[in-house]
Amino acid sequence: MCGICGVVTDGPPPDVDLVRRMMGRLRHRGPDGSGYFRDHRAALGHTRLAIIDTAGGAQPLCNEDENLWITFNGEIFNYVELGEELRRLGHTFRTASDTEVVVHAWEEWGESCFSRFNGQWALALWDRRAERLVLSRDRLGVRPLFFRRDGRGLAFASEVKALFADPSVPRELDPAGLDQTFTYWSTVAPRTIFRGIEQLEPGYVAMLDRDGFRTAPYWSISFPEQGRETGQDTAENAAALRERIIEATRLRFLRSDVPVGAYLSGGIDSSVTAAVIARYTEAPLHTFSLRFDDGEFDEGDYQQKMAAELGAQHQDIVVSHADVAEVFPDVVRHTETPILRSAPAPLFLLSRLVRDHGYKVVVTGEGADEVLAGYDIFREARVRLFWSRDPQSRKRDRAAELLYPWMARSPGRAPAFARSFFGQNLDPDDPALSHRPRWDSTAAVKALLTPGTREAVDGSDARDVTSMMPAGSESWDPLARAQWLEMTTLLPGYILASQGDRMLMANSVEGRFPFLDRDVVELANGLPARHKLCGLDEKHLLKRAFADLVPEEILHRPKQPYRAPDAASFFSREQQPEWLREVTSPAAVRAAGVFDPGQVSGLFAKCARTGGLRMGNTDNMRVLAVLSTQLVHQQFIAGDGSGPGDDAPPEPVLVVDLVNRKRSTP
Amino acid sequence: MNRPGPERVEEILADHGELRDATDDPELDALRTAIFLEDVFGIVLTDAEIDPAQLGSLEGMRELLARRREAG
Repeated sequence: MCGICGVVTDGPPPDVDLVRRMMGRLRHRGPDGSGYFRDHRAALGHTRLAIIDTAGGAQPLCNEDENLWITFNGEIFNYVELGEELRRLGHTFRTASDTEVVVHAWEEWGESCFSRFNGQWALALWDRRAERLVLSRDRLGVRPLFFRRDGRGLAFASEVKALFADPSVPRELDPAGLDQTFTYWSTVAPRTIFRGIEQLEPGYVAMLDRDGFRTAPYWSISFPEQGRETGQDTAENAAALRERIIEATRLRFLRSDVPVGAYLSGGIDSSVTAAVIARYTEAPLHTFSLRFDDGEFDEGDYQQKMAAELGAQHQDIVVSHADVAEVFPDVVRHTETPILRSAPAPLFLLSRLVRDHGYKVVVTGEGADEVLAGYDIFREARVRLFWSRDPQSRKRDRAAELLYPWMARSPGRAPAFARSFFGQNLDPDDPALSHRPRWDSTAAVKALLTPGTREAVDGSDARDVTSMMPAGSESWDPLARAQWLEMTTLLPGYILASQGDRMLMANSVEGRFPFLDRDVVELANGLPARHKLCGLDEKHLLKRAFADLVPEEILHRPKQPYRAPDAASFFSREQQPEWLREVTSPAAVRAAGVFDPGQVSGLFAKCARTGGLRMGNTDNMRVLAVLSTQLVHQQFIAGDGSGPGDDAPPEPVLVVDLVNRKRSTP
Repeated sequence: MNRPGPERVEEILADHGELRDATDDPELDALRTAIFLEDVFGIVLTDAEIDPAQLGSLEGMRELLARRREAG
């Protein structure tokens, strides 16, 4: 896993110093070395985390005649098979890396090559003959790719802070981006939180050449018509799912030239991936877990049970409220966007633990909740639909008790209230029936905005995500529509970004996600809904498929969503962190201009009184929204996104400069 | 909208029977079964049908589905 950046211009040759600064800002993504290519029109930069072909895979890298160059972040897990096919077709390889496979695949198959890749990537190709830049991103947005266009050309990078290495780039918050974040929990690609900065949509390819700039999908999230799913047999589907998950996990564990570890959360998903590694590979298994000293969030008992079952070498880190508060500014420096939960912070600490133990790669269970329907939002939607079929039935009120029986303050204890909460704005024809309660409750954050920001947000051109739903989606099962919304908004915008890539790469660790494998997703999306959410039983087929590998206690434990203490992390101590007072002072809030200082003072006074404890969901989100937005403003709007030690690219630096006719090898 | 035909009923009910989510509250269990049947078979149960006596056994569910099929 690596960092990529580059510039294409119509004017004078790209500025080498700028490209080097951009690479410096991506040092954490690739501390093992760096390199850049430059000709009179384009420059490609790369910082390397060496995982495959550690000796020979330095980038940027080119084809045989040096007319096609690439900078690549990610992995193509089927590169061995693709490489064999390309060799049979006459291509000559100089390295054993997956990156070179991409170059030859583009030569051979052009744009359709991306459909052949099974992996996670963000990449840029520069075709010198055609003077064409090609950008591509994996199907579900595992790897990030940002860009900025202006009248002179285009700059791109793995992270926004690298684009801000150019002091001429304006740094402003985008009201439409704020609107999306304070509704969907993140922006929806191509939108970002910064005005003028775009991100390539997952599953898309972009081109910039003499015909201008254009983007197009090479893949999209799709589901069959309800009842027309090809496989209806439960046992056959469970066997097929098992086979694909085993293969996806094996590929991600074995296709690496450095050791691969595994996260173990205590839930079924990571237990499955770790158990598959233990059963189907010969390699020793090293697992890593996150624990909390606050018992409300801790899953340590389950983690230790599973680690013992696997005979794994196991490490964990116990995170306190104070730990979350301490690292939060660093966390936001890496998320580069406001976050409404503190949950990324402990993951930042977990990836540091992994790195401290000498690992660069971990396999995790991320994606199973979206692909195989594990989230509570899918169960809530099913209950909402149940209510909508007979709105007058009082007997149905109690269905809310089936949702969260494990919660101490279960809404089920007051069925009429629970129905009024989960049943609000209940329109059975709403394509976002599943997500409306979440979006409505999140939008309460906007009550804190200044009148000016509120006006800008209301007048922004942020598209309602339901308008982006594909033609024909009305014939999908309601669960499929809910999955589409989740896989389009929260998965790429928050789970894989703020909780995923950014927290892993902050400590130079690559995450690999078997549940987001091309073939697993293809199979899962084609399943009948009842095989994923069977009544209210989440991930039904997964449990059935791996009943022999995962202990009963974990397989059938109630779902516990990953959460971390929110407001309590920042207010439960006598001494608040210095940074908090600095960024939330009335002067700082006024300077940022996003939130109303009076409202923020009122909210924080409440937190101070309660120690951040027993705050409702809305207030917890508001606290996190204010803190993270203020930090984004401090670091990326008032500041330029730079951080300590990121002013120069990591050594050794490979240079291929056709403008100055300079060439060096690391 | 396409729903599973009669040939799938037994397999689907067996799937449901394997779920280990029963509570000690028969009314709640009946609600859970009602959610399952409505979702999979595209039917809407009356309050009278959401009854532990009807939905608490495989036979009761079979009868209910057969009744609905006959009613078209």
